[in-house]
Amino acid sequence: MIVAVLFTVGQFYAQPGRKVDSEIEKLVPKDLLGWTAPAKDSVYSAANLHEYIDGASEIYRALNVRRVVARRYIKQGFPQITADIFKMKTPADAFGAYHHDTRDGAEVQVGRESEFDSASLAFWKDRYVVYVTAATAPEPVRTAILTIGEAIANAITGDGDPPSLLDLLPDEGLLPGDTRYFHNHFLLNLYYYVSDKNLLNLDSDSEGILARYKTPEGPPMTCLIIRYPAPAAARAARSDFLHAYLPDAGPDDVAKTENGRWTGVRRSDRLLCVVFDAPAKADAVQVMEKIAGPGGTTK
Amino acid sequence: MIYGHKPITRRDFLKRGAAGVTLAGAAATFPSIAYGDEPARATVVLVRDPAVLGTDRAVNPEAVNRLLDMGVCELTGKPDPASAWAQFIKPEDTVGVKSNTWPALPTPPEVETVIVSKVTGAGVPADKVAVEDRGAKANPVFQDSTAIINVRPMRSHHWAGVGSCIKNFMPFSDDCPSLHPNFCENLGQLWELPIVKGKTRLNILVMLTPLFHSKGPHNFDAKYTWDYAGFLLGTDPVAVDTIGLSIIQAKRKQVFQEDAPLPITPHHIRLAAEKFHLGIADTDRIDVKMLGTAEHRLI
Repeated sequence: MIVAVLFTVGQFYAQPGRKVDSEIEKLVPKDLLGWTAPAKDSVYSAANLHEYIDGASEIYRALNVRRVVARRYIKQGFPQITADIFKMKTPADAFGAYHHDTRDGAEVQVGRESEFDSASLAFWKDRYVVYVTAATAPEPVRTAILTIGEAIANAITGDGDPPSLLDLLPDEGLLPGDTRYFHNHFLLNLYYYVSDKNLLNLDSDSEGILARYKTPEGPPMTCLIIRYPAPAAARAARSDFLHAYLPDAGPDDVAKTENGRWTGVRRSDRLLCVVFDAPAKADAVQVMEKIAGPGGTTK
Repeated sequence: MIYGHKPITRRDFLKRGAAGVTLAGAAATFPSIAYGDEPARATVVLVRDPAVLGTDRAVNPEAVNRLLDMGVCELTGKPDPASAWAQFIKPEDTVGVKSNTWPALPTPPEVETVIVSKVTGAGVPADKVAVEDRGAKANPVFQDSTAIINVRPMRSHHWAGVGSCIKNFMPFSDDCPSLHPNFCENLGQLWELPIVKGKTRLNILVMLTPLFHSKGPHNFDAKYTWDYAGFLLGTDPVAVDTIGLSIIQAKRKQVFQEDAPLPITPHHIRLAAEKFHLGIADTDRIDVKMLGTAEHRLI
């Protein structure tokens, strides 16, 4: 029966050509498997999201959150299920919000990427990142969470693409579930502390990804790829970063840092690649050349 | 590019010997510097008893009463609870008990009730004591208060690193988002607000079921809590938070099987000492007195 419900909801809301309502919650049933949402949905903007999730709002604000809808499903004798639908500016931002948390739970095939961990379903699709959560999730709560999540996913007609910068990452040694997306240096510092100052000149017009790579021993190697609006901005960022962070770098823009590891920077057009904590100089250079390509430059 | 001061980079931390830093600088692990007129040392009392938690984590009021009495006696050196509580609260005081109502992990009502009983037991009329969280700023008792008891649970936090005693004064701010920049670095500033400045007589960090890891927009998953069954008490909120943080870090290391610092360094604790001279964050200068169950104490 559960499968039938999922199928029915999915069929209805995934009709090709169906117009996407800007208020997506109107497309999600308020009565699913006996769970109902009698109360009015709570709606937040970037400006007042802190009223709902306190300081965590800053993460979503840094990723261009536009609108948040919180709906509470209840059923007598069972824990409440909360559905939080975050509408972001772009699919890449939705990807970034989803991957703010390390994803090591089970993939459950909802939306573009999903995870069911403990009593919470999280997924992203198109410009949306969605969380459906209960305090505990024994059956039938788990099924209800999945059903609500499916209904929301099916109301989102687009798929959206993850950040195209991901395509530039070398596969070898890449640690799964640990890739981040950011615009500003506050979020970057959260994932990998670089400096209290914005050495890489990041702002809302830049976008970056951070990935980690397995090393033979010790901490992983960290790789940043940042795309700036124009080559001049990337060139300036490279120069500022070298001046403040790698004043001891040689002509190849690579230096050994105080932990015995290697850090380097390379630019290609409007892309900047920075490698931190490479086990050897050759490792840093190799990764940067793979990313920046033959056109990569130390200028 | 011109910076207001020389940038502080990851490499500066590495130079200071923190070769194991993997995320966000873990700045709270570095020795604190430059104190003003703070006392040379601080004392924090840890008191624990598994009996404080019953079936389904029901809080045992009798055990709470006993543990808090033990804690204040140890903290003050007084032989009996009445004289110990009298060190903090006088009959002529008007007392605000700053609690925390975060739905997932609030200050347990049993703890609030015990504290109020101690305040009235010290001779304060019932109408001169109030328990509040978000409404504290508007509460007439808090507005007229001469003394505050600060009590809340310990938890990891998406943006501040941890939510503990220092952060618990957030509702006294007229502009909470203004305190969010750089991972809430200026939370110590809250303690200079006229409504609270110089009034806090006792800080109680509830360590009954602390949250040691945050995931999702609401930060909470019960699987990242554990039965620690204790309280931390002290007059210095920075010292109390510092010890609470060390327990959280130890739990993370135990669970994640590696040195897994909080994704966000709760540097507001260190900065509360260094910038706002609110107390002591240097563990070498904090005397921790431990009472009760030693098993799984983590410090």
